Amino acid sequence: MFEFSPFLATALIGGIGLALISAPLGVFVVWQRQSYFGATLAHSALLGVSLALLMQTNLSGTIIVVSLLIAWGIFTLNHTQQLSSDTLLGILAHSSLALGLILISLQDSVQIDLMGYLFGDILSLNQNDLILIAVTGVLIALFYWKHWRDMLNITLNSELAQVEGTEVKKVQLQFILLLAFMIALSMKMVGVLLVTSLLIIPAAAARRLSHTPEQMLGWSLILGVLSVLTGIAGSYWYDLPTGPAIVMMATLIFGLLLFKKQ
Amino acid sequence: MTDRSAIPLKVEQLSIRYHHKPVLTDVSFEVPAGKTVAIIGPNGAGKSSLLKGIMGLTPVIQGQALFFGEPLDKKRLTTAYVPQREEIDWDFPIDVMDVVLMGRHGQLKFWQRPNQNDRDIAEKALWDLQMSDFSDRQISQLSGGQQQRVFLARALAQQASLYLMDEPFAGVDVATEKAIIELFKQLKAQGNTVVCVHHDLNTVHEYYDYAVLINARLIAAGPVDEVLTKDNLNKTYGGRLSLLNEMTEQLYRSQLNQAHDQD
Repeated sequence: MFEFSPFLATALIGGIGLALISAPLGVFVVWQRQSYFGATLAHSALLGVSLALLMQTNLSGTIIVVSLLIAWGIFTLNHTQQLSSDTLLGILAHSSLALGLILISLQDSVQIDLMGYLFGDILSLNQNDLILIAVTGVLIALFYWKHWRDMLNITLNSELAQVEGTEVKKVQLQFILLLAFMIALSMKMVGVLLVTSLLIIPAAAARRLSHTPEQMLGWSLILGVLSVLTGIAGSYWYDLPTGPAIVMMATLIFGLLLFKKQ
Repeated sequence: MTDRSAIPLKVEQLSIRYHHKPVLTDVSFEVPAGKTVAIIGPNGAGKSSLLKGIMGLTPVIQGQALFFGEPLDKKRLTTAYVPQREEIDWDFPIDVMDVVLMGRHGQLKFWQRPNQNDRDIAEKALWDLQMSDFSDRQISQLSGGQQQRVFLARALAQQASLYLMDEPFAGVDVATEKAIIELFKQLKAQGNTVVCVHHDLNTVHEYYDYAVLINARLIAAGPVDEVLTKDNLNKTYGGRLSLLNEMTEQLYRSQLNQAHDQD
């Protein structure tokens, strides 16, 4: 009934690792109402994939660079153009996705599993990814050790944080960098179109159980890991696509917690 | 400690542009210690920009602001800021006490936790703003005026000498208005200085000792009685004369009433 293969072991360890790096970033994405920003970075990851294939460069590295460029683009356009930020995010999210799809379709020499990039393929996780996930986890832990309080301050009121001496831009840039790392790595598991759900759904579910920021962080770690484990199990036993199964389990947990009285 | 004899806030030839359009040009004034000061002017005159320029939140193209004779970087702990109340509902699980305790963070290193002394100071600040009963409440459950009082308590917990506030009275309930007036009295009694952007000309006399009149440049700065003249108000609010005459008449009457009250 249960055959433990090395593939499955890598998938499980990788899945738990990705849940552990998404949850801490997700709480701030939810608090700062940045989920569309996260979604835009995730959509731009496909552009990263197509450029990596085109130029024969490292996949994760290219995705991270493209995500950072898109984040920089959002930041600059937001400050120079009279566009509302969700319009801007909508334009960038879908134009970068469209450009990515076009660039992939132009490369007829290689057979490309587009579905794998869009919706994820957990069995494509390898040893290298596990190392990268661990490194990102350590970076996130260091970032929060140093800047947890700054991030809370920025969330409450960024101007106040700046007046009180927090280097707001520097801290936010580091956060976006970590977000780009997380997206590049989790894309393999749940795909470009579902990455944002790993950030948002466990955090939103944790909100129902928390009265302090620290509690919400803890609960979103627990609920994130739970979603990944039950999602992988569901996908293993019922032969469901893994990425969507994980997202559905997270949504189920969120739905159940909606009934909890606050 | 801060030298009490130094000028709490000195603005020197400050100019601000926004998208290449001049917002404020060559504004200079000094704020004396132990007073409440209103920055007033019509909508779009650059009041909030002035405050943001002073606090380094908006780039200035020329000039500087000195806090007790030094740039803000050196005086962050002696300067507290209360931003304009925003109409946002925080989806953020944090209680009132923890928000006020954030006012103590400037005194702590990043690995230190607030101790009992910090908690006592935060509790006292909440008590001063009649918010003690709310200290365990989630900030998202408070009304706008109560949120404003939490941010004032947070500034108070910082134990600064100079308080800069962006329209603290805008859109608040009566209880909060009273709490802010009490806070002003208390801060002044301790020799602290309060500088506020203020939009309601009718209450300037009642709440403030000093006024800084702004309309794209400095019109006048000084004690309220001296600078709130018909001539200065004309220059500041120019054009809307009929309204102005009404206002100056109201001001005159409120002064008369005050004079009567003192009899």
